[in-house]
Amino acid sequence: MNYLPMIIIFPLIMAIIMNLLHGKENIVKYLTFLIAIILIILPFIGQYGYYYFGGFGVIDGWVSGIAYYYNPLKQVVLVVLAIIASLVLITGMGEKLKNNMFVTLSLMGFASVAAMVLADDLFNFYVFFEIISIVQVGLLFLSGTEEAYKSGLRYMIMGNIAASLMLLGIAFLLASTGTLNITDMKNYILSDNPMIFGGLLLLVVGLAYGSGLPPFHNVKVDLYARSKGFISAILQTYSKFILVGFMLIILKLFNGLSYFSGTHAVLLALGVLAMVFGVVMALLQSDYKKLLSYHAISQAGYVATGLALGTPLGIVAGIFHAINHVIYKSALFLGAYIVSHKKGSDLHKLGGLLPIMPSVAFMVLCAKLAISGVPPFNGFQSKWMLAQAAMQVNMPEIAIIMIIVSIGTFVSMMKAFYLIYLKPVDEETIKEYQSRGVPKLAVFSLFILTSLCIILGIYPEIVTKYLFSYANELGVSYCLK
Amino acid sequence: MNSKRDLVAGISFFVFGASILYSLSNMHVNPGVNLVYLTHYIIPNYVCSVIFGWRAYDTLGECLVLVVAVMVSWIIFGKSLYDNTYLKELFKAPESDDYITLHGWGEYTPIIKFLAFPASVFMVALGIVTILGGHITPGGGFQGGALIASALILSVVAFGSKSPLWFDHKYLEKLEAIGALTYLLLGVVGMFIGGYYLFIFTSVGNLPIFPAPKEIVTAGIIPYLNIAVGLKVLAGLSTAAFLLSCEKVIIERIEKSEEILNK
Repeated sequence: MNYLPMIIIFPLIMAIIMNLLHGKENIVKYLTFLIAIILIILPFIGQYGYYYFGGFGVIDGWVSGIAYYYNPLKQVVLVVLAIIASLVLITGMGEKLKNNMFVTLSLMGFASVAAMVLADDLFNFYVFFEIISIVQVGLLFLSGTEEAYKSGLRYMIMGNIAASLMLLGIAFLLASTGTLNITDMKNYILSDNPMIFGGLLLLVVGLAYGSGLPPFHNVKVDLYARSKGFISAILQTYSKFILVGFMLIILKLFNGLSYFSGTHAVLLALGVLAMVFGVVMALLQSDYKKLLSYHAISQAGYVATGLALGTPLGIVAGIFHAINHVIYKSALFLGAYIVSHKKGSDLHKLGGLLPIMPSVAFMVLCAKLAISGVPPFNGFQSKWMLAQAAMQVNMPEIAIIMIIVSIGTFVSMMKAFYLIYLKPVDEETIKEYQSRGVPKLAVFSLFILTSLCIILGIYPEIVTKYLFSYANELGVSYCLK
Repeated sequence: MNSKRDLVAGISFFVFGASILYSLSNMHVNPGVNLVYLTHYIIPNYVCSVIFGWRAYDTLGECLVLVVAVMVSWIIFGKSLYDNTYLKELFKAPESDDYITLHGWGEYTPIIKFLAFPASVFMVALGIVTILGGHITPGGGFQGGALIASALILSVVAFGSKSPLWFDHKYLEKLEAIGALTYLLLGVVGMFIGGYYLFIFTSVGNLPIFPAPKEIVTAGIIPYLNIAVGLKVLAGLSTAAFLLSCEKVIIERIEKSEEILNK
């Protein structure tokens, strides 16, 4: 028997049970540790290939039910998602309040992102897209400040517009092809029908909203910056993998078709704009969490550009960068969470933390070098591949922009490192630092993420070797003249 | 400055709307997979057979949207917040003039009370019939659950806190969880019996899972899925109405969570 759906069903069942355990802190704590371990096992229990829900397979030449498609690429993505989710769950148990709703919503988010990556059915994809947008807002509300309520409301209003436009796009595609299954649909969209083109346009709106590309980057940044540090880590992981899942679907449907070239340019432009906007805005920020959030947008631009190139190497580089990005950016957000235990996140009030917690400072420095693309960390490997992919299709300008954005990233990251860890402070502040503890579970998670950064930086092929087969299937090689 | 912005917004709205209308003007609807749904018989109600048969997993997702929405509403009103100083300020603020209280409003006339109670009883009965007969008659879990919840809302609006039809909020939370878990676990049972998640099995061993007259093809687990969805929708919508109307419980919750935080 194929246990593939348990990847989604098990977290959902546990989420609903956790919802009932409000106030029972000990049970919540130990059950969460147990779930965190089981989550990592889940991606290995499914078998590769198509999975038909309810056994409704191909009837009269149509896939009649809902299908999932599982392959090594999706497995790698799910493993990384599970690792980050379980580390964040463990970190969350270090808080004074053992929060059952945090666990519930994180598990719901895990299940929906996993479903979006696996889905081979557009409407099923949309349903979980809805769940994840509510879950993200719920995780934001948990921090309970006035700004959190305001930015949550703004995110929901934008979400209403974007998600309903996306539903309209799916309706267009359903009307003109007669099916929702992506593998089937591909056979009916070969001709240039304006309705299919309109559907594609509306899908791109949903893509920009779900992954925080412009023009939706502001609401997404608010979402990350107003949450607690470890919750931002899981939120940005969700949006990166939504981006990956969505782009895989768009590429599977449209890549290589003659009328895709216009949309192709739009997707590339969105990616480049996100890269540039993110890093320019990040240079201006004085709040550490906000700075990191703008960098998350900028790195999402890298992922989108790589995937939008549409060549096998571009797809591999994009997905590899998404994986690397969620690892080091989660490490950075956990670092911000540890710092916020000492004294807020305002860069001008912090300073002098290096002698207080040297090991944390070292690990955060590793993550910062990784995000700026310095060897031997994982960010270097994927940015190198992205630049190669851009050169391969004869678009050197994209490679140049990537390098300039990397320099901007390095500058703002080093500025933040100086202001937090190196800037000299007076005696009183140091005494204040020493009176406050460090969350030990967060340091543990930070250690694991940093070591993953270094391992992937030295041996990138333990991830990339699984990505090439599906990328070759989706990608189309071409070269601009 | 502002007028230029309006102009840009207007033009982009016009272009966007025109492109959508243009793509709609070339519509050729392809029946596609719907022909399969119409020619292969599962249960008498075709809509229900699509919702709970062919695409049952989507229905599970749609229900979970409602479940998550209710959970997030609880969080907005102070369940499990890491920091509730803002919410406390909001609820302890002095009442302004435009704030409507029960004292300021008064009570409804006896005519409304006389009509509202029997109407809500009938609505509950109709809702139960709609849920139970979902697989053979028009209707189903969503519609029935919404009917029962609206009966509750009608009664609460007419009678206020002395409403004869009343569900405790803890009871509603449990009801919702039972509904969701039933749906999820029925799918898991189907996986062990038929090999696929949400497989529609009609009998376990020799026992028919849902007894039906011999002329009608048995509906399998679909009626049970209907009941699960009905419970969930009824609990979810009632909780949403309850949260908007019951300030007292929310303030109690805030105080209780303060005790935990200050421990």
